[in-house]
This record gives sequence, structure tokens and C-alpha cells, in this order.
Amino acid sequence: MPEPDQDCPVCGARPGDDVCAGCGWTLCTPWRVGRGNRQEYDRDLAGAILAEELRAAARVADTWEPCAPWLSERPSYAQWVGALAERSEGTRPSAPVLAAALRDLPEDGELIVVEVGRDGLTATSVTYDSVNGEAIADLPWTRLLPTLPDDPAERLFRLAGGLRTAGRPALEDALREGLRAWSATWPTGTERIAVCRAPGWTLPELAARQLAKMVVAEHGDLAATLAGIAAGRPTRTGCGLLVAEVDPHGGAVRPGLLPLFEPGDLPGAKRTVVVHRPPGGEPVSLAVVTREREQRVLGVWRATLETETAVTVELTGPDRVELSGPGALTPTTAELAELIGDLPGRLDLGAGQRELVCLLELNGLAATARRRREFVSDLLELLDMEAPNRVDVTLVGYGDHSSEGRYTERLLHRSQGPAVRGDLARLPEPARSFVTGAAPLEDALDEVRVSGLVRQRVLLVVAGRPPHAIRAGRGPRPARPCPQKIDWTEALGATGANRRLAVLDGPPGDHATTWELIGANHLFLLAEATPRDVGTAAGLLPETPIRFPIPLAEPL
Amino acid sequence: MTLPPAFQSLPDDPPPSAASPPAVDPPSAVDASPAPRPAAPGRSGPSVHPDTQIVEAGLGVLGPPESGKTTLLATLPIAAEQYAPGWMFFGANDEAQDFLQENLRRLRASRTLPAATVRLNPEMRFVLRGVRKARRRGPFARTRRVQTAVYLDVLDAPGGLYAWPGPSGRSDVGSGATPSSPASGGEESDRDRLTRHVADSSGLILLVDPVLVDSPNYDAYDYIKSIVLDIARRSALSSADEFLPHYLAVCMTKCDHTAVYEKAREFGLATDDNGPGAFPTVSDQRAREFFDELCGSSWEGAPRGRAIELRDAIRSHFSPRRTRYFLTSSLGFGQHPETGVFDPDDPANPTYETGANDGSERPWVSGLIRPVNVIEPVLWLAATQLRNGS
Repeated sequence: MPEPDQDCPVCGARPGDDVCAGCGWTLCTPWRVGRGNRQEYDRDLAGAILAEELRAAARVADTWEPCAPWLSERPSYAQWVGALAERSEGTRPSAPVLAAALRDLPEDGELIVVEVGRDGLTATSVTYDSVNGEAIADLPWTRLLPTLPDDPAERLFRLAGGLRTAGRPALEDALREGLRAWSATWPTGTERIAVCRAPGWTLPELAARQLAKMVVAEHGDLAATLAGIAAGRPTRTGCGLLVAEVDPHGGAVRPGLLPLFEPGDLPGAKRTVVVHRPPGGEPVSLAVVTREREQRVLGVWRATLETETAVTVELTGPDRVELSGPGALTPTTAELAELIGDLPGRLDLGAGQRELVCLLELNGLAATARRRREFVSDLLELLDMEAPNRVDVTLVGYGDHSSEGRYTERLLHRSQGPAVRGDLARLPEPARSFVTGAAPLEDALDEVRVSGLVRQRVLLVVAGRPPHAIRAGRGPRPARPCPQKIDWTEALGATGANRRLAVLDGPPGDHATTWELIGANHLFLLAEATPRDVGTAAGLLPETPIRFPIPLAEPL
Repeated sequence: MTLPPAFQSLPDDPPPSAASPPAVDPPSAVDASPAPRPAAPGRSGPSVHPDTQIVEAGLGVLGPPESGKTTLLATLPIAAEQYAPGWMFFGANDEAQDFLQENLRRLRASRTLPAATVRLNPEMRFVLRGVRKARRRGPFARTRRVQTAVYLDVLDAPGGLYAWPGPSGRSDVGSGATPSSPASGGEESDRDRLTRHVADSSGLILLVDPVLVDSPNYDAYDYIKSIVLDIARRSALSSADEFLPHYLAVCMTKCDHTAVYEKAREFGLATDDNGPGAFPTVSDQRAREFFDELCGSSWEGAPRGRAIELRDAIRSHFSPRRTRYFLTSSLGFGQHPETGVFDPDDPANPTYETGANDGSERPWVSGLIRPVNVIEPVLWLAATQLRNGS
């Protein structure tokens, strides 16, 4: 039996075995006795050639007319329908293969994905940290195989398999040489996956097999495929929310992380952690930071916190997080050093819990009486922001013994603890008329008297009128004395306060001696004092605000 | 309290209340009054029983601004209720009735004091009416019940009308008073009308504020001097002696004020020997001496200057036999808001308060109104009319 020594007459492939590997045409048969039937052979050959051409034409378009100039003969309807029916895409999905390859990719590894399409080839480098990929090389067919026809339609016909008259062996040799040269500049040792974007096309399939051992074939978009893979990948490193930790004994401050996600956590996972507002009350940065030697900031948001705030973080992909609470969040950017650089090294926690007893005169000229309340409200807010949970507040609002000639049944309104700020807003409005010259401050002092030892107690009086005396005055319009005959000097001494301050509506005038005793440590004027002035004089606040850029892990 | 004999009730009438101020010095118990006569025709007021003895008396209530004239008039009905059982004090004309109703409403319901009198109102006519015992002279004298009505024509004048004229001779009217001037047609001015009323009155009540008497703007001396000169011009010649013919009740007001009360206690005028929590009694036995003491020195013992002139002006123009002194309080003593008892450390009734929106200061009545020596000056003046047979 003679060896085949000519290219396949049907598809133009280089001869190999007796049967063409490209199209299945029998190239050589065993010797037989007798005469051959030339006409039958020619007829069979012509049919095989046309069928091969129609297969290629069917890959290019849904009609044979675009490829008509290069068909050996005009096909019948049946022949064309048959060619279309035989057309099979031979799709082999790329996502599972790419996902497996990326999952197994080492930290410093690289994967090169080569796409082979109708117009040319594109190589994309994908790493674990850059799942979206980066194009590293691009090669159109016209540059890879310059001998391909210039006519785009004919070029597609040849690429799809119409190679009988195109010098197929030479093209294939040039293809191999061109691809070798093109891929020579790629990083060595990298894994490669080829994606044939023209499934079943002769030359693209050949090129894909040439470039990679793992070949898949499908239409589509590599970026979309990689994004979908990335969205479902587990996170590689753990991460946490950046907080400040304060040593309860010495006050030393250091940064820390509240755990959020662990390696292997999948996108969609959510975690909620509770953080605490730091002193100062300024907006803070909520930063998610990785737990690894070289820590990275995955995201930063600015937020204003309540005293205690729940923060919810969602893992949206490897090294991708989103905050979904609390309240209004403003995305921003910052480096880790920048975030922790402004942390104070130490926080002065003071000598334990303190108590503030605030006596607030409720009546007076309407505008002034309201201004007193606003002042106390601002002071309490400042204490809440800068010394949260450090000051126990007792508030006593006091009215008058009588108003418009009528005896007041209840003139004291006392509140304590966390309810104080809310109760302050609900105190009775200033009365339409108030006793001239004195107010029942003595009753309020008596209300907060203590017996025995007390911890650190600050007495703050916010008022306009001095207390009632035990006996009536002797002036033309004297203030009546206290009906309960409370001696305000005795009641003042029984408050147990080791620091006393007063904020007055105006200069003490004739009652200077009285007020200097009541506000022994400091007297302020309402129009001039600030809540910080009073808080500092009371020993409850530092002179300058404390600035904390990140939240606290625990309440102070 | 013991009423003047002229005003004492008969045994079957309701007895007086126990804790009440001491008696007014009684005039002569002999009733020299004429036979009862019916009400004069043409005068306003309800019809009068033909057996009712009618006494007509003009009454001037005088005093510098803020001395409490209007408040004293307004509390007369209350004082009559509490301390002159069987006697009623009410208005006999529309002006008087409206005055009493409005001001009693203010005092009791609103707990506010009457508004300051800023103009000379129409003359008010009041009636003090009740049954008194009368005994005629003669060998067969016997006590009988006499229905008596004392009509009091009162002109409540703003204190500023009698301010002393300045160096220019113009009257500087204080307290917001807006006196009228004579119209071109010869209509009487407010001051002239007041002067005529005061001169023609048989009795005068002069209010002096012991607390304000030291104030530089409170010149009671100039006030009384101005009155005296006007009265003298019109009525001095009708007097039978060297004094003005008027009966004068000098009322030192605000005895519930701490300083006045304590001074009165020192002087023995106010005694709280009725038991713990009971209201003190205020006598007028030594009221004249108290007045002299008051004018002679301030609370701190310093001479008061013009207050002495006030005392001297009264002494020199009004007969001591026709002058009585009273320590009064229109509102009375205060009470503890919870127990209702009297507290010597806090004797005052009014509480001074300031308005939250406008900063204005005003007194408020903080306790029950229990006038002290308010009806007594009126009773004394009325008794003088009965005795004189007017």
C-alpha cells in the first residue's frame, strides 16, 4: 500500500495516516485487484470537498452566500441545510476551569488566559489579588498570518476551515512559529488556559491548542467571567474593624481590631460589632483592616456615633467589604498610619466615678430662664460626649413657693442618671410670674443633702435669685421667708459637695456674700460662661477637647 | 373687737368673733341723735325704711401715691363682715357698687390688688347699715334698737393730685394721675373738685405708709400741707376753735409688713397672746405715741426729718380731740400656706412677684384677707356724726 504523500484533496491538511485527520477523507486504500472507477471517485471527491467547504461556510454565517466565491460549486438547499444541521459549536465552558485554576493559584502565582477569536488573540494575566486581569499582549490574525486573505469575508472562511486551496500546511507552520514567538515574552512557569472564542473553527482551535494545554471554547467576555468567579471566591485573609483599646488601669491607648471575617469566609457573609463613641464626640473613621503581617486597609467610612453603636459589615468579595450601618456613612480613603497616627498615647481616666449635682432655677424672666436650661443641656451633652459613663448626674429643677399668689404644691423636680437629659426637656415651663428677690434654692439644697461619706461630688447651681432667708426682710418690698424654715447655709453644708460652682443670670450685687458662699470655687455669669469653662472648673472635663480618630472597643 | 357704743348690737344679736382686733375708743354712749328721718328725696340708692336713722357724712380718703387708699376702701365690706357683725357696708350708687364688686373680685378671685387710681372718679356713695342700740337722755331713758344707715360720700383721689407744687408753682402730678383742667366754660378742675369735697367732708382718713415714709420720693409732709392749705381756704372759718373742723383718722398702713409689725410689737401695739398660730391683735391704745415714734426716728433710729414736719402739721391743724390714730392693714396678716396659721417670722400677706414676660413687679394676695383696723376708723368717724347729730 503506498504512503500518502500529498495534502488532503478535501481539506488541504498535511498528509499523515491513510485517513485524513482533518476531514476523514480516505487518502490511501490497500491495493486491490481490478480497475478503479474514476468517475465515482471524482464524484465522491467533489462531494466531500463541497461538504467540507459548506461546513466552514456554516461556521462563518447562517447563509452560504457570503462564502459563495470560494465554494467549489453551488450547494443545493438540502446540502446547505445538512451543513447547518451538522454545525455544532463544541462549547466547553470556561468558568469552572478558570475558577479551579484561580482557587489553586498560589499567592504569588500568575495565570495567563489567552482568548482566540475571529479577529485575533489576546493574552490576559490574572493573579489572586488582581482577579479582574490585565491584558499583556494582543495579536490580530493579519499580523500572525500575513498570508491570509485581505478580504475579511474570505479570511473568516479560511480561518473557519476553508483551507483546501489556501496552502494549509504552510499556514499551520507559520501559525505555530508565530505563536511561539508571540508567547516567548510571557512570564515563564505560568499556568495557561486558552479560550477559543470561535468554537470549531480550524485555525483558532489549532492556535488555542498550541498556546495552552487546557483549552476551553465558548463565546463570551473574559472580564465578566472573571468577575463572576471573583464574586464567589472566599476571602484569603481575616480582617477586623479598627478600634482604640484603653487600658482601664493606666489609661494607655493602643489600636486594635474587632474580628469581622476569617480566611475562607464567602461573599455575602455579614458581621455586626458594637463600638463606643470616644471622648470628644467628633466624627470617627470606621476602617476595615486585614489581619496579616503587612496590614492593608480594605475600606474606610466616616460616621458620627451614638454612645454605643452597632456597625454591620458585609463581605462582598475577596478583600472587599461594605458597611451597612450605622446611619449616615461617608466613604473615604486613608492609610493605616494616618488612621492611628492621631491616637493619644494615653487617656486620663481621672480618679474614678464623679457625681454632678445640678440645681436649676426654673423661673425668672422668660428668655433668661430658657437660656439657663439650654446651658445645662449643653453641659450635659458635653459631658456625655467627652466623659461618657464617667459622671453620675443628679438634676433638681426648682420653681417658686407661690405664683400669682397661689401656693405651689410641687416646686422640686428631681431626676437622676441616664434619664436626666430627657427629663430636662420635660421640666415645667417658666411660670408667668415669679417671686421677686428670692427663690427656693434652700429647698433644692435640702433635697440633695447627704449623710455620711460621699464620693467626689460637684455642686452646680444655675440660678438668678438667692435663696429665701428664714425670716422676712425689712425693705419696702421684702421677699417672704421659706415656709419650711429651711436654713440654706445649713442645707448647703449638708450637700457634701467638695466643689461648688454657680452660674448666675447677672452680677451678684447685694447678694455677693451669699453667692460667694454657694459658688465657693467659682462664680460664672450666664452670658459669658461656656459649658467647657464650667466642666473644666468642676474638674469633670479637660481644658482642651480630646480627639479620637477611631471608635473605642469598650466604654470608658 | 368692741364696737363703739353707738354701733354695739343688742344682746339678741349675733356676738362678735373671738380673735378680732381691739376696740375703737368709744365716743359718748349717750345718744343725742335726732329722731330717725327718711332718706333724702332724689338721692340714688335703695329705698329706706321710714324708721331708719339716716346719717349723712362726707368722707375723704387721702394719702400720697401708693399709700393704699383704694385697697382700704375695697376691703371695707370684708372688714365689716368679719369685725362688725350685724353691720353691712355696701355701695349706694352705681359707682360705689361697681367699685366694690370689681375690686372684691380682684382681691378674692384674682388675688390682685386694686389698680392704682389714676383719675378723679365720680363721687361714690357708700352705706354702713345696721341696727344699733341707742339710749335717750332723760329720767326715763331706755335702750332701744335703732336701724341706722350712715351714708358716706367718698371721693377716691389719685395720690398725685395733692403733690406739693414745685418752685414754679405748677402741680407736679405723680402716679399717672391726669387731672382735668377747667374748661373754658368754667367747669371745675379735678383738684378743685377734690378740695371742695375734702373741705365739705366731716371726716378724713389720712393714710401714711410707715415703710415708704423714709423714701426720698414719698413726701407725706408736702402732701398734707397742700391739703391743709386748700381746706383752710374753704372751711377754716367755720370751725369753732383754732383747728380745722374735721375729724381726722390717721391710718398707719401695712402693719403686716415685717418691719412695722416688729416695731409695733416692741411698742406693745401688736400682741400675739392669743395662742400659737393665732393672729395678733393690734390695738390703737398707744397708736398716737407709735405715730410720734414713727415720725421721730427711722427704723435704724435716725431722725426722719420731714416726717417730723408731717407730725407737726397734723398736730397744728387738726384738733387732738378730733384726731385718732390707727395701725392698719387692708389685707391683714399672712398665713402659713400649708397650716393656715400665723407665723411671726413672716407676718406679711402680699407676695411681690415679677412678670416673666415684661419684668413688671406687683403684689399678689397670698393668704386670706383679714383686714386689721380698716372698718374701725370708718366706724369712729360715723360715730362722731351720730354724736354730732348730722
